[in-house]
Amino acid sequence: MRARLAALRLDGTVLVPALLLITLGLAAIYSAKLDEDAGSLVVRQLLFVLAGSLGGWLLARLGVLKLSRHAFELYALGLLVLLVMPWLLTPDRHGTVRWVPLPLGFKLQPSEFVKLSLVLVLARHLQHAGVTNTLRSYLGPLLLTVLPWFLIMRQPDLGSSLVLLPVLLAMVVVSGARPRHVVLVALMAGVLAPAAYFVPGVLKPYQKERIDAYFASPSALLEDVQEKYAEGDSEGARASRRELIKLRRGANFQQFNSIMAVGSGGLTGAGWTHGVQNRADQLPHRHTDFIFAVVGEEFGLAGGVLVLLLHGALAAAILGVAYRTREPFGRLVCVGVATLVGGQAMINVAIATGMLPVTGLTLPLVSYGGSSMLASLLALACVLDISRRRVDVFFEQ
Amino acid sequence: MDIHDLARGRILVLRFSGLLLFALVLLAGRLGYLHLSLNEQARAEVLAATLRTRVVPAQRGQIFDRHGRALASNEQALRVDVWPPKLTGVTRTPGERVKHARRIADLLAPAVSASPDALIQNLMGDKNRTLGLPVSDPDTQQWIRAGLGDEFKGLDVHEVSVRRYPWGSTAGNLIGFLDSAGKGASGLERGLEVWLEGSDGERNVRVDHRGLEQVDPRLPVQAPFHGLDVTLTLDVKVQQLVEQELLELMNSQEAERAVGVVLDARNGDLLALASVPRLDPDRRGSITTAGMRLGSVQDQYNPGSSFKPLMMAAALDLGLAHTSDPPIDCSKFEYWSKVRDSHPQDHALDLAEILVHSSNIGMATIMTRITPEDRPRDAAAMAPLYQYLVNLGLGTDTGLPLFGEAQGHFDPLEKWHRRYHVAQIARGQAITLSTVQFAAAINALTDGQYRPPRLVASVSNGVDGEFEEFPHALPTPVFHPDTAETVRGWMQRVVEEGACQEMKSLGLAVAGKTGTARLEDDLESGDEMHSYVAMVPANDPVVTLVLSVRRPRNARYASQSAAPAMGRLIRSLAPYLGLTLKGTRG
Repeated sequence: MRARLAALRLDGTVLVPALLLITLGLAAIYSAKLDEDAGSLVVRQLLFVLAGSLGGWLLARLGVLKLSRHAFELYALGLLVLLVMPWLLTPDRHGTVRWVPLPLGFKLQPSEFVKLSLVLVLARHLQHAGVTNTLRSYLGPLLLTVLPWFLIMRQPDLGSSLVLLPVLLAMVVVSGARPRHVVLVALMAGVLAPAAYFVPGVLKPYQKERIDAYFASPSALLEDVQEKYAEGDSEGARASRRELIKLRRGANFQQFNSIMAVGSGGLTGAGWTHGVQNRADQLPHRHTDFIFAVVGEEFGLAGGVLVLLLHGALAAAILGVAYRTREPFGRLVCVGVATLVGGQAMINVAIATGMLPVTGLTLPLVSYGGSSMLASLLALACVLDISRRRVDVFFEQ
Repeated sequence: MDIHDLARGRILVLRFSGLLLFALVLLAGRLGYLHLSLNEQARAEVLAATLRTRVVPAQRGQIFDRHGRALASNEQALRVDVWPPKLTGVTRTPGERVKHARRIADLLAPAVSASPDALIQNLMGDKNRTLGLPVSDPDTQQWIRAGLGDEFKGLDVHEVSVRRYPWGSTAGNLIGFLDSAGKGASGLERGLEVWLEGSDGERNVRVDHRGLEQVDPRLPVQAPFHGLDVTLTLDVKVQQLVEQELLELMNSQEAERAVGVVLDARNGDLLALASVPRLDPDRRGSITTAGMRLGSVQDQYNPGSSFKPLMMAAALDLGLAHTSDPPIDCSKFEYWSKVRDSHPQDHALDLAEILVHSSNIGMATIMTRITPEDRPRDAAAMAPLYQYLVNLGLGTDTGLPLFGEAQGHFDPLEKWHRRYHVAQIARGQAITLSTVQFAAAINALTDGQYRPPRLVASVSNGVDGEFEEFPHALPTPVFHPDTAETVRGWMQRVVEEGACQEMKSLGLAVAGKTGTARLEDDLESGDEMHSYVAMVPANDPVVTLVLSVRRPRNARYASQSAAPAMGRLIRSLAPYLGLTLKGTRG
């Protein structure tokens, strides 16, 4: 295997965790949809993997260098698609316009590819302009990020838009931004984000409800019930339980059930396809955004930590490539991809475990979904291409 | 910083890696907390949220007549549960939803006997509940099974048991019906509940986030104990004939109610226990309070003259009268002028003639002999007559499994202060009884023994065939058999010398007696109760019959109302019961 990978000049440290995550994802998708169309979903997911691998191979053949020359065009094309989507497509039942219908029942989510194009265009821009720690030097990357952020928020797709900001920060940091500037920006974001809750029109009502429900903290209530029962305060425990039931039936029921599913898994979980919440169809979108809840319930802490370790290993491998590469464009792309894939994975896990409010975001390489899988594999193909060309082939004077 | 400074770039990558590692450790800590610290409570919450205990209903026992004909049975039907939001599709536009709902309503409406417009209102609802639509027609069931359930998401088709009453109105008020919870609400359905209902089982079902339940075959099931099947002594054909005759009687007399009882004279088995107006348990909308009342068991009344044969038999056994006694002057009752005959007698009557002419004075004269002339208020002397009433099962219910059974009434012995009391009872006054009590009492004239009426013959477990028969109660000797035969003979003369042509022309030896009495609860209005008791054949009775009609409007005496009806009833029953001319059995 190693020899073959070496012959192909593929970085096994990137490829192996990615393949393991995809395999784990297929098992979880099968279990999540066992009572419906598990087989067909697994086949479709395999097709997405195949298509992503083919796309990655073509990208590698083309070379990230050549692609980077067209980064702005790709970025502009992505923005154009995001711009016209609301006018050309009918909103879905939630009133969102995120998907472009394709033949044979397939759908494409352009924002997933726009994220990758942002990484490329930021890398291209920062490679040339760098960060000189002047306001002007920050404006370029900020503008490049804000444009897709605004268009994705307009869909609205809060989850995808939120991932763009860590990508920007990470790439700016690696470009040499002063830590105090980054902290300042982070603080500003920390102040402005809550303000967005109060500014009319920024967040949809259902998004506000989710945030409200998040602060009701189901895990704290659960702990409260446990403690009060232990203390013999059955009346207090019942009151907390009533609050829990309200949560279960409220806007945040997805996250509530996800926390319960993860918590009920214990050390080793209920076993593959034996998760009670999963089998009872208690968790909507459990094959996509909440796939981690299925893993947590059926494979327990061991399964959850494995997913984290694999994503950690993948991010580490990508950052390893960034560390080893001698030229800045490759380094910036790797950091961007590591943030895109690893950061999105961590946000997804944080949502599934109740650390962040609910927003629609897939677990890269694990969740069911063609766009997410294709974009992730294309991003990894960029990293693999950078990895096998450690010499300064990208270097352009 | 120079972007091309490799060493500096690498340091920054390492710093960034540290940041990611910190986030990873934070997430792992959160995972550990959820999995290990909250595990027990989360597991309990998950089970509470996803599992529901649901009742697996026990199959209700069936009710059969003596020949195994089902009077109340269970029919497997389909219930289509509809979850409107899923059915009409929440992702559709409002226009599409309406169009889709109309298509389904057009398909379902004929199957569930509803109008498409009414159905569409339910289908377009967005409540998180199911809409139960029972479908019992086999063709419709097949059609639904074939396509509907699979074609539309949100339609759940499953089997349910529906109670059916194959004989419709026949014995409808006797069999009764179920309430909305499936429990017996009236009649035998209520009275036999303890055997019929069985005991429900339990099963766990999974509940999804929409509240929809899913049966998981892997979850344990506690099987139900099904109700027991009950076989009655009733013969539904006899019941049908009796009810037809009662309906005709009630309609012709514009009466409030007509009731009839047919007993197997040899063992007390009830062959018919009828009351009209009646009800059809399958047509719940048509049920009325009057139709629910089972007059043959729940109404009580003064029997009037039809009680005289029993008193005559008691008088013979007590030695108050003898077949060889000279005729009695029945022109006047010397102790109480209120005791009169409806048709004054112009000559002295012997015992048989007292029955034939239904002489109140004659009966009162005989029965008042029970107390010595010098001690007319001696209750102890009246005790033997009192005991006869007790032995005939009067004053207490018969123990039939029917709610609201009338016990009948006569004063306790301590209150029998005067011989007038005896005179009243002798002509069927100062005593009330139900028709079924009366039939059982009259049946004692078959061979002198009282046999409590029996309605439930056996119960059985339809699943494993366990069977328990309810034996006949031991008969209580009341009259001397010769006395019974003698009185029957006189009752035969009542028929043969009576005014009722329908009875006379039967071609069968029938022992009978009419009774016309004022209703105890309505003394002022003069409304009456007409009754007729009969034993067929007279010399060796096979069946004992009692008909009574409450508040007849078009006849003054029972000989004009109940008697002709009895004649027609015996004529229609005789072929079915195998009774042939002149008292011979076929």
